[in-house]
Amino acid sequence: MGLFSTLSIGTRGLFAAQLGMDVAGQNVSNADVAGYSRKRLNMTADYRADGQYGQMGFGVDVINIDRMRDKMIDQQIQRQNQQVGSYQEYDYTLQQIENIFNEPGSTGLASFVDKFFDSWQNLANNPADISARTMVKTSADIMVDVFHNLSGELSNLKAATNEKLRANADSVNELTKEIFNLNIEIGSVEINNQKANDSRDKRDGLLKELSSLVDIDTQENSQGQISVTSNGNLLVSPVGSRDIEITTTTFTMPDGTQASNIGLRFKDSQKNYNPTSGAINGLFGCRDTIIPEYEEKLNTIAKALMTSVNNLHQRGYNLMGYTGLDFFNPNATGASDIALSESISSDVQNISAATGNQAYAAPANVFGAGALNFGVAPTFLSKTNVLPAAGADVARNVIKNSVRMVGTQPLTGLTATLVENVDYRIDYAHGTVQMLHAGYDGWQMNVDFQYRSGGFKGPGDNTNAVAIAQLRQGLTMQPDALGNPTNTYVQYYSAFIGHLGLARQEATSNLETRTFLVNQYEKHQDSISGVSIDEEMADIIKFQHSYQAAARVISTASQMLDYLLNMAS
Amino acid sequence: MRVTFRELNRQTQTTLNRRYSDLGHLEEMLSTGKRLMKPSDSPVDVANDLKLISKQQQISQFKSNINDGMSFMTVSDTAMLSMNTLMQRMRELAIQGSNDVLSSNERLYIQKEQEQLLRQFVSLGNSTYKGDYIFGGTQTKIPPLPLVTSQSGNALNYSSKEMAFFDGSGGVGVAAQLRQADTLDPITRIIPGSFQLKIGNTAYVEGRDYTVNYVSGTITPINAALAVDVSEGGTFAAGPLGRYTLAGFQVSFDYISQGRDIYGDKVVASGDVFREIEDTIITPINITADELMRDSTNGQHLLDVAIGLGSDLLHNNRAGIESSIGTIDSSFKVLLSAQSKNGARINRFETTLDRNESQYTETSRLQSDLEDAEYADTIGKFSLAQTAYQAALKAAATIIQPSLVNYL
Repeated sequence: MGLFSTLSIGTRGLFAAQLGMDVAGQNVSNADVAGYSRKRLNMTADYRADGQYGQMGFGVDVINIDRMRDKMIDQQIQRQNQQVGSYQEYDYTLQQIENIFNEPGSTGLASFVDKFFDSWQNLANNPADISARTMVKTSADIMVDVFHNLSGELSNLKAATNEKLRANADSVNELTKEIFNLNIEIGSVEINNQKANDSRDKRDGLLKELSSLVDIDTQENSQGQISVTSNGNLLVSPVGSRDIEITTTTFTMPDGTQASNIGLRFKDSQKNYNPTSGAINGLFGCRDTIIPEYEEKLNTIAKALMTSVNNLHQRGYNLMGYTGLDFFNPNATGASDIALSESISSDVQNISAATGNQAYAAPANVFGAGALNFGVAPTFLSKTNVLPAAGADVARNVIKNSVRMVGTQPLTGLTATLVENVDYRIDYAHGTVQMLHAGYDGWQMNVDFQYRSGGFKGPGDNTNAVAIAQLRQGLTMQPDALGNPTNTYVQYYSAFIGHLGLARQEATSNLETRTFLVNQYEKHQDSISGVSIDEEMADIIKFQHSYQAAARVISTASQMLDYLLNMAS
Repeated sequence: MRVTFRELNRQTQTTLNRRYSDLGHLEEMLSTGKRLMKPSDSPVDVANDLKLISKQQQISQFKSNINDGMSFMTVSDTAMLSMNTLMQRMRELAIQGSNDVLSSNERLYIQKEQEQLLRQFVSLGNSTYKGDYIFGGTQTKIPPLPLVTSQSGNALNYSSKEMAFFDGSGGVGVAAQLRQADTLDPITRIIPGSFQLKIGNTAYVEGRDYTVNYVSGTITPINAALAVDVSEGGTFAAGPLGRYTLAGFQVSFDYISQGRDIYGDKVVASGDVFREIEDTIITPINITADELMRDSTNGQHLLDVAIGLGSDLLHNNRAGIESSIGTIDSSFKVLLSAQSKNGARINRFETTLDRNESQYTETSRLQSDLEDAEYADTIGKFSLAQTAYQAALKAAATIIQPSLVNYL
């Protein structure tokens, strides 16, 4: 034991103080870097065995530079962040749907449905007035446009969701690749028992980002490399990362238009990939559950409006005394293709505000051989068995599906029931029949049918317009077990908007709770890994003093050596 | 717990954001005046609000239905009031005409006035509201009492559709029905004093050559020259009934016809015109010509009574005139009961209108309670939020600034 060892102790002190200064400097300069964990210099008192006195101090030893971070909190953050990612999408989509429906307000569907029924009331006040009729048509046109617009906006939202899914899938691929690269870096550093502090910070940041997209579980091996699994599928392992790819399925909507959805699968195994949480899961949920739910409800309203108005309208009589006309096109499938019927859009006089008598069954019309041949002009059906000479006898307003035509071949006695719109055509309004091909030429025909002719109560009759206007407060929606409707349009619609509001509220509050939790965990993590300038400043002063003290040890030892050398001379 | 700069920073940002978004929400409430902007603001309230809006819309539509119905009924009322006056005058004329001392000529003068009253009555029966015949039932485009008139100075008084004939071949003293040439429909309710008959240049005179029953439209020949089948101008030489022509036969008269609907059927003015005045309450607003003029107890028609009176005045039938006073009185009752029915409906509409207005006020109030932001409250909250925001800013500015660095 000698003075040289004292010099060595001083040198080690100097080195440690300088390193401490470096760590403090690094901490201060990275204080603002997101995800940076504060570093700490771990030191221990070094010693050696001394024969005489036992353990003997040998200065300070730097063990390592460690980062201050709680892995458990990181995992909690990842877990909550998945929920945040998912609820963010739900909240966003529901907000968009709220914006689309735009209730309460004067531009929402409800006010246009109200205006539609108002126009029927107005028609009831002036049943023969062409301008009141035009108003009914115009307000119906506008309402139909609103339905189209809402349905279009909802499917645009769906398309946007698909696009977002595509972008998110790309992000997942990039993130997993980067995590894998960091795995390699960390492994190569930590195999030498060193700490890959900054790479780990970086990897933690990426994991957090990945967790906002998909659900993840992580497992770390002894080399510090992690495996990431999502819904039981390996995304990253110490040996590689797995890419996901996009599949596109195209299908036909009920209204005949083509649409496509995208799905995710693994590139290598071709196995479908459905994350159980995170933004991607949220997007799938919005696209496959939330948006279709509102589309369905909108369609239900459109269909109920269509059928209930049509049912009444068919019973009504137009200005010319014809009945059986549809108001809406009966072939429409829902909100996307609801439209006025051909007869209404071509002539407002066809709006049937009046009522008439019940149906009558006509005595069978017998047409002698050859009377109904192909190429013969349309033949009138008559109310009585006499072929109509004057117009009054014509069975106008033949009831749809009531016609039955049986033909007999006079020579062979062969009989056949003819098929409507294949063998013959009926003009329901005018009460005529016409053959469609020559196959039955020369046959004798027997035609049974029902008609409503002659029941028209006059252009001043507003009974049907009142009945249609009353649909506004009539029960038309949501049939119970017996098939009786239990709700009015406005009840159904307001319940549906209320439901939308509740869903959004729920999504928002879930999002807020989860975000709050993430914030709390991050706060907690910050209290461990965050850089405190004050602390670092104190450290800097501390290390400055340590440095000065260690330097004093060296200079004192040097003086002592000087004395010793001078003694010798 | 260790508090670091980064955490403080995060906290400051979160708090400031939250305060600022509070402020933004309150600002939106203040500038729109609405509390409910989107369904999630308060789902239950929004659902109720939508129902109320629809209800309110409906109530205001009912209001316009009521007002429209009231105008309709007021027009009916005015017309019926004038009819009432006409009937009173007609009754006075009947009393005057039943006076023993009057000569036939004097009765003719009375008949002239009575004819004008009758014509005016018919035109009141064809009153319109916004172009619709108010007494026509649901056949609002067809006049309930179409008056077919001869065109003066024209021998061929009727278009081919409206040509008339009668079959007098039954002989002198036998009543023959006057019919429309095209449909063979009997012609009834001829306006007394309007009937003229000529063959060639010879005018035939009522009372001397024939008599007319103006109510039923029959002609009874007195002159044997008319006791044949007569129709006009040869048109029906080969007619369905095998009639032959009396050359130069010309007949002219005015009569109250019956309209035909689009099916060609004769129109009876009937059918109710409705207005929905309250939820599910649909009431008729119209009085039909039949209700106005036909006595349902005995089927007696006011027009027949008036034509009968005119005919009696024309025929100088004092006893008939005297007995018509009683029938006029009973027709009067029918008219009065229609009038009071209409009046009662107007009253009902007025009370419904009152109720409608109070309902509207009530739903408006409810809707406003639900939907509108309370200004005092919102402004209070707004200034509170403003203070909170400023406090947060100030606190952040104070606490973030200093660190140990400032003191070294």
